[in-house]
Amino acid sequence: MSTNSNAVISPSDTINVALVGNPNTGKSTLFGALVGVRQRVGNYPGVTVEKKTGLFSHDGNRFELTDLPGLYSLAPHGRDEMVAVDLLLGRYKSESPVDIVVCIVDASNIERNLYLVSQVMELGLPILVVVNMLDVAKDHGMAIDVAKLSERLAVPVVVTQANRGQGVEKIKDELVSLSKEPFRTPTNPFPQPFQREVRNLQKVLAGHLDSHVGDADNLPPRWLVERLLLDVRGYLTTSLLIDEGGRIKTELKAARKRLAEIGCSVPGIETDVRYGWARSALEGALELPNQYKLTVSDRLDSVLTNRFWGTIVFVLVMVTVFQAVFTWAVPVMALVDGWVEFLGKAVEAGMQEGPLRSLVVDGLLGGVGGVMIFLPQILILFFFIALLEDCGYMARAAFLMDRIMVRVGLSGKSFIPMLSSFACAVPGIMAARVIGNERNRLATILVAPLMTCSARLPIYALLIAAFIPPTSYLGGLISLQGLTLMALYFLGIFTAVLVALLLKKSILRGEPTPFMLELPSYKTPSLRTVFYRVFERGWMFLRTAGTMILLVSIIAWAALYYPHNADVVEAPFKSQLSELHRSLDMLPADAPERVEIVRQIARIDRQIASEYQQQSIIGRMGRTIEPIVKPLGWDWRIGCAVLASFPAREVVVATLGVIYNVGDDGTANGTTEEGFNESAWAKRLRGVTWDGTDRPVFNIPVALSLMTFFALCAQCSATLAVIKTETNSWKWPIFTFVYMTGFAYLGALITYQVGMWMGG
Amino acid sequence: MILSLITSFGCISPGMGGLVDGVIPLESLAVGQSASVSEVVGPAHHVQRMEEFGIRGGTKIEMYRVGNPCIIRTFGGKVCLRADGILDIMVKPLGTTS
Repeated sequence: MSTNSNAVISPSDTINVALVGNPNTGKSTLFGALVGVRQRVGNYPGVTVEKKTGLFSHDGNRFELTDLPGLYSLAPHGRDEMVAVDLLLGRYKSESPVDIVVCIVDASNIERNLYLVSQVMELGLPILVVVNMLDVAKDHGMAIDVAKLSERLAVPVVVTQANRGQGVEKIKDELVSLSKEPFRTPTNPFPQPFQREVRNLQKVLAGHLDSHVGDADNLPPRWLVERLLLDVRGYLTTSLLIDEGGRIKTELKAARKRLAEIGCSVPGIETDVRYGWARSALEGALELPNQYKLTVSDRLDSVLTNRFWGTIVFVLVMVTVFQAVFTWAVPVMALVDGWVEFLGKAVEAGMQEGPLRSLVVDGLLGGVGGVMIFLPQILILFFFIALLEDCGYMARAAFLMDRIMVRVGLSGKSFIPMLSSFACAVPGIMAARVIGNERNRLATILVAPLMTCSARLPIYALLIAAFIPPTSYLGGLISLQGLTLMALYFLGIFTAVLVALLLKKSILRGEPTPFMLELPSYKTPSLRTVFYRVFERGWMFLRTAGTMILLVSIIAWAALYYPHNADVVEAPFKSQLSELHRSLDMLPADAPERVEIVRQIARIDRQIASEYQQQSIIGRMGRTIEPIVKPLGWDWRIGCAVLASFPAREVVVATLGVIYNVGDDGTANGTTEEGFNESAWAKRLRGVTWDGTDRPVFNIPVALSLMTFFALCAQCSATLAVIKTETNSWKWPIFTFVYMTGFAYLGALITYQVGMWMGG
Repeated sequence: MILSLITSFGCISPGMGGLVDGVIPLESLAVGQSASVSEVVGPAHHVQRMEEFGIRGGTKIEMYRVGNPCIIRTFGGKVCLRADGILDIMVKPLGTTS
């Protein structure tokens, strides 16, 4: 469908509707109410701005609704506005041009919301204004005459209560009517001198815009030229203009100078004109109280934004979230683990032994299952984030955290990505999209992987249980093991603070920007919105992490499996194994000796697996890097396990199990919730000695050095992949990998050397 | 008289605080004190963003929580601001409401 002609939309076509509005206007809720479950989430071409589309039908018409990012203005300050401008002007060749724009406005902040409406009205597209949250406006003591407003704006206006689904049918009716009407003449609120400059520039700019849209005379669209004239920072100029020799920039500067001389300074003229228009449109249609009315939100804020009480509530909320993520998820995680194991066993039983079975069981199921196991935690975390966002608390948390974040050069908006990263850095990095300031966003992305994600927990749990004495203090209230775990969390946070500070003082240094955050009125969260958000983000996580981990799992499996020389590896054990199997066959089924023979066979199987590991590509690499890891107190086997865990750190426990011959999961006497047997592990690890000596490999400094390494190292290919997609560059994942691995090595070296100096 | 002469020559911007017509910086407002925004002073693009956000000359505000960031109340609700010396939000106090 095309919007380039003033034609009425044919009923057989899909009608493309764009949904625009300020943040916190209930835009996403309205989107959900209009399209239901028929929604798709993706990215706009070439940028990491989320694109949400959905389909719905009404009266025989088919609509495709696109939810644009929440915006205060179409003036391009960043990616979100650029995407909106490009989509509304039909500049995306891969996207269908917009036929109708739905502008949702918050009734309680209508004047500011009309600023954006005035920008959209200039595009000449059919427009429907949706007034939402009238109840909040009433609470503030405001009254809006909707009929008068519609008359003033000369566009249809619908009142909704999006969270209750009220007014949704009326919107659909209006969309059908609008699709049958010809396009409107664009409004132009600017004074004559400004309009004259725009007309002149249209002629000057013909053929110089990197755009495939133009008006009837093949001149660049008036609206786009206006934006270029107002764009003093050059954001649009850089991305749109083909300006050889800088002639256009000179023309733009001269036009701005002429306007300034007659009192129409750019860009200030825009806010003056648009707010002036909004005020006149609201005159007689909006009634404001003489004084601010005390609302429920005000009463709640007196506690929740209070430095003392607010901080206490914040800590309680965070404790609840973490408690939920790390305890409620455990049974579901065990269930997922059980399913993956069941599938693995089913495949093992149904397939012949060989590389293909190993690839499916160890590579695919092991790798993808490794990601799936974290899904319950991630969904629980997303549930809380969505709930806290939807009820309005998250903005208060960002306000409280801003005081701390600003000290490391970030803002309160970095708090949500950081919080998410405690479960998994992948959704955390994705959540950084809410940060408007590019340098702050990048700094947040680069330090988010330092937060202790749940994939680090298995190795922490294993080594703490095996090497840290179960000493407790204050009558059992505080344990040394718990303190060690807490110290590891703080190590990640402290390093993130340090790196953020260093980044903001060096490569990400730049002009500071003011921090502005709206604190929306509190409301009962809409379960539908919360459900959609959890589903959408969970799916995005699975897709991003799942696809990458699949690829990396195959590579990691191949490096651990090949060259797989069965003749060399299995020959020394062959006679011993056949003897044991013969003895087993001769014994009656209930003979007590069978238990010991079965145990011996299992031990030999593990020895064979260990031999294969040593012969594998990774095993050989482990021996090669031994001189590098020796100063950290590690033998070649630890080096090998760490190497194997670079694609995904959670595989280290299984790799250590194979390398140290404990069995893949240490299942000798039943397993713990973490999938390993503490006593079997502890006993085995304590008994490991350096090759050819009686000197034990593991002691407290080695365990601490290994945990420090895991706390700081970038051992997650999914995280690096998501950094690449979110920054659109390989530079930043490479940077993250290098700095984190460097810090990890240094941290582990200091920990071990200091530990040994203190007496081992 | 001398002061008005200096300001008319552009030696003192209204953002330098508290001298012209009872105009003071936003951070000087006490909790519960109402004011009308007189002017937002700073780099043009930051001023534009602040104005698009709804904080501009003529906007009636009330200080809700002092500090950096502070929270101010407008008719549309509450906003949290930290200008960090990049912008000077100059306001004219109206009185105390609570």
